[in-house]
Amino acid sequence: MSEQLILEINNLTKHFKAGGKQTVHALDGVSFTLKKGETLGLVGESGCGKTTCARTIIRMYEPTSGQIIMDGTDITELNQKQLKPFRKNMQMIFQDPYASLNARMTVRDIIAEPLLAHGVVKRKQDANEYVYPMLERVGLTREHASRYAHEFSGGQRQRVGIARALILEPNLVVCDEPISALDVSIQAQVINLLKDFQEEKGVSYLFIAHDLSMIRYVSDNVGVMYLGQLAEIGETDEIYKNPLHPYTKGLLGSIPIANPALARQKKKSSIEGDIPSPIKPPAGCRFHTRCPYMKEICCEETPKLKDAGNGHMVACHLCD
Amino acid sequence: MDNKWEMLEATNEDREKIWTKNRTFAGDVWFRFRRKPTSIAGFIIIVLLILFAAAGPLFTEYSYSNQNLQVVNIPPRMKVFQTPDKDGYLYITQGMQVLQVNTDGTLGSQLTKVREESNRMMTIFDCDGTEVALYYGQKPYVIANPQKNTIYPSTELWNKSYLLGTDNLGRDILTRLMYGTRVSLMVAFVAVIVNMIIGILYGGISGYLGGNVDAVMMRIVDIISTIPLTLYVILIMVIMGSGLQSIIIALGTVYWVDMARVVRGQVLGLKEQEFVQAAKTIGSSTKTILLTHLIPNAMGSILVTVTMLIPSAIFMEAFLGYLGIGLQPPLASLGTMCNDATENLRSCPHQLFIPALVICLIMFAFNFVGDGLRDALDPKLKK
Amino acid sequence: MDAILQVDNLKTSFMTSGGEVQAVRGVSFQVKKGEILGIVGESGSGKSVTSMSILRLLADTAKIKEGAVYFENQDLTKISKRKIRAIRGEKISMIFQDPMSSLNPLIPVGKQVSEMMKEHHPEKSKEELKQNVLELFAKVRIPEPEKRYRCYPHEFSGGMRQRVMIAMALANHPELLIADEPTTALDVTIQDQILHQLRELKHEYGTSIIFITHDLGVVAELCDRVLVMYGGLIMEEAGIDDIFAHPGHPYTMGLLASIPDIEQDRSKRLQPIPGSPPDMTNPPAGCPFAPRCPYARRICREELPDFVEVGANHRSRCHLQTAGAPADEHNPFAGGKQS
Repeated sequence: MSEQLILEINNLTKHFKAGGKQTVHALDGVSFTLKKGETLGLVGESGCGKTTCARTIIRMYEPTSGQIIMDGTDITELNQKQLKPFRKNMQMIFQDPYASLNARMTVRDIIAEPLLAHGVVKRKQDANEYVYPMLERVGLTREHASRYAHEFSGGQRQRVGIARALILEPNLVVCDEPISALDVSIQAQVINLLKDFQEEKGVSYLFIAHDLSMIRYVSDNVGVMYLGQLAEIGETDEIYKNPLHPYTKGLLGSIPIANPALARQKKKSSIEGDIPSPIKPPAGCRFHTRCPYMKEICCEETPKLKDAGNGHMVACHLCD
Repeated sequence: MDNKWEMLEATNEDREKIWTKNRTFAGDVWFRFRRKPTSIAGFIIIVLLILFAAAGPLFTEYSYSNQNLQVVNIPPRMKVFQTPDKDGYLYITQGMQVLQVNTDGTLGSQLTKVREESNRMMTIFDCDGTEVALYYGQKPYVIANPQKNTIYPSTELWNKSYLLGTDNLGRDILTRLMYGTRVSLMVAFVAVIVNMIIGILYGGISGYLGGNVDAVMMRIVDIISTIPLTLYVILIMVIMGSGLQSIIIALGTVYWVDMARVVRGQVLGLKEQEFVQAAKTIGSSTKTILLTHLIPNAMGSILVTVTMLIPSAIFMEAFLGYLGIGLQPPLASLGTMCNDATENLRSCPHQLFIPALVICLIMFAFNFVGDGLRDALDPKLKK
Repeated sequence: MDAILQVDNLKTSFMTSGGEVQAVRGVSFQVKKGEILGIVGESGSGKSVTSMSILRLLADTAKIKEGAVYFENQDLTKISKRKIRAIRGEKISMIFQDPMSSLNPLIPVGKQVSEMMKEHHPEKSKEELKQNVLELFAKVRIPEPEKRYRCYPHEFSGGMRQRVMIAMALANHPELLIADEPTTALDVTIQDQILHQLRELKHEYGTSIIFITHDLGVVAELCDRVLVMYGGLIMEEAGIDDIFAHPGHPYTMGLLASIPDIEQDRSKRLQPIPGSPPDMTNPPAGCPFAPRCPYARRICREELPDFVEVGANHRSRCHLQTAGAPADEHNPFAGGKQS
């Protein structure tokens, strides 16, 4: 696999205006890179900014500051029109397969939409030669093409969503919790499909999920987010075997293990309390309100991401 | 090995098969719509009315404008007197003339007047060589034998020539009703289509762009909606003169306000939905997003609004016609027919009741259908 | 241990525009005193409808067609509405996936819980009730209960709201708590806290719990016994260790194979169950899982299998577990019945 960078994010920040003068610090200075053909997993609790991160990268939201570099081009400042050629190379898979497909369109029209939008085919009728192989590729049949999305089951719908995202063979696909709305038996179908595409076409995924075991399975690198910031990022095995940040430790300790014998042995290292409001994030280390190892410095100074060896970056005062 | 233990080769088609019937959205709506008797009744009435208005004139020998002053204000049920030779009947018109009526109820020719015997309060007519007298000494007027001073036996007959009678200019009410319904429906449909186009575009753009554009566009709508619609329509009619086009233009520029509000509300909600966001990340143009994603999904509410707008447009047209600033004679609309009928309200109430009844029918039918559609499209009932 | 709830051949259907949806097609099980019974299944398997049928909380379009639910010697499907209301919240209470929709947004949460208590204990005074609520809040670890008492639901986070729901459900020390995917909408850290809480409550009060979920990990952590549901039927019933160590039904096996272990080798492919769940307006004639089952035989398509005892307190609804099934290489249960 080449070392070509598909995506580089520098200090990306996104603040939303909440009613009045309040600001939601949804994303605060996040930086990472994604290589061709690799998967970066982003995990964290809801409200940690992982979805905002995905949507800002795909430019559904306008970034407040920072840089998004796609294939060597800075796309942060481009307007929607200038962005269009780049859209062909970055696609998104959404969380809710029910809401993300237009119920008034047939599956053929849904999958053909990117082809028409980017002028790959001029007329709807010509799209079939692309749509049929794609449908079969995601395990559906030609007969499904004339059906409406609302007739499909959740897993089938999500595969239609994947077909739509992959039909242009993009370099980068942002997967925003693509499996969390699906049944367990269906999740593996979708994951296998995504992995197969990656092997064939060398797609890079930015994979967002809250299911830690799935993230471990699909990702080459994992970033753990907390309140709009990266707490820890590094190679998947390194993060899971040797978590350094207390938040990552707690998160891993909370995963339910599908093995009753192990589950009973598991020593409890879960995190108490709730995630604080991103409108007024705690000063210093944002995790200090829930951290069992909290020290004085944690309340005062924001820890920086530092390399703890092997590209394993962690933002914690205790790891200095 | 027992056959029942034979391995099944499950194919992918089998596993991915969709069991439900291939039912489109329209089919789904129709399924729920037809379960409500009132909406089906409304739907049937509308179909019948459209047939009546569109195909009806083919089956009538009269035109809406031909006047026949010999047969003015004849009711559908006539009081008639037997002729002296008993092979027909005679009917006294409001103009103190006598009409021959055949036994089957069709109208014949007018009797020729022989002389006036004002001292006996009689007008003598010639009926196939026999003299008959119209005695107007007391109401109701009767036909009598001038020689014997006996009244011919009277009976009541249905008018077969003019099933619903004639108006004050001797025009067939049934024919005029067909044309009137046609005009009313046409005015309503055209006005509503114009409204739909303006409303959908205006509301769609306002809702989709949002922000300041939305704020300004909606304030304009607010201002327009504070002007009483009736007054506004009357003003337009006064400036542009009466006539079919002016009515259509007047109505077409009024009701879009409601439509624009409905569409805007829908679009505001829909544009935050993931499939619209998805279209944006795909790179689809604003036009595609608006025309293939937003508006088709808002179509449900649009349809309901339309079916509710039609009766009010029809009513407004009738109202204008009744005020006399609608269509110009001899064109008929339900409103002008009511207006014409008010002159003879005491003697010929049917001339008012019949078009009024049709207006009611149309209103009921469209309201029922709108109601049924709303229930059928209600996503809360969806399973 | 005695059964405190017994469900016999329960059948529930929904009437929809597409026809009759047979959501539950004959489900029988028992809940024993002080146990946590897990019901696992995918969406549409009938697990939620089963639990809603027990307390008759179904929508108007749904109907219990057959069967009985015995609780304290009465059939809950037959008793009057007034009686079932008295049981709800007092003897059997329920918590849902979305706590926001079960809380009144206009009333402070403390008041909602105390009113719930008052309904079943009208003799208690206002002060007494408040004291009880505050104790409950502390028990479910709501921080600063005094302050939280006067807060409105929207001021709470999802996890906090679910705690309020648990407090409300436990207000009258019910004998049975039905939890319908209570942690699905929550984060893992919060889920962990809630599961911990439920375990503690069970130990403290001996409350029986029916825990409905699609997450096998949660089941493994919490439950004593599991029912696996598919297509409106129970496919397998077993103790918690049995079901993970010796799954007795191809569906259960498929479910276990399709989740990645936290230790999973990344190069190994996941084994998904192919296809989609059956459409319950038109359920398959034979085993509902047959169209997706890798071991399906002709008989599986034609005949609905009965339960086979495959071990102690372990039954499975699979033709391949019957005595007559050929022990060829396509039978995963060949080579002797386990345990």
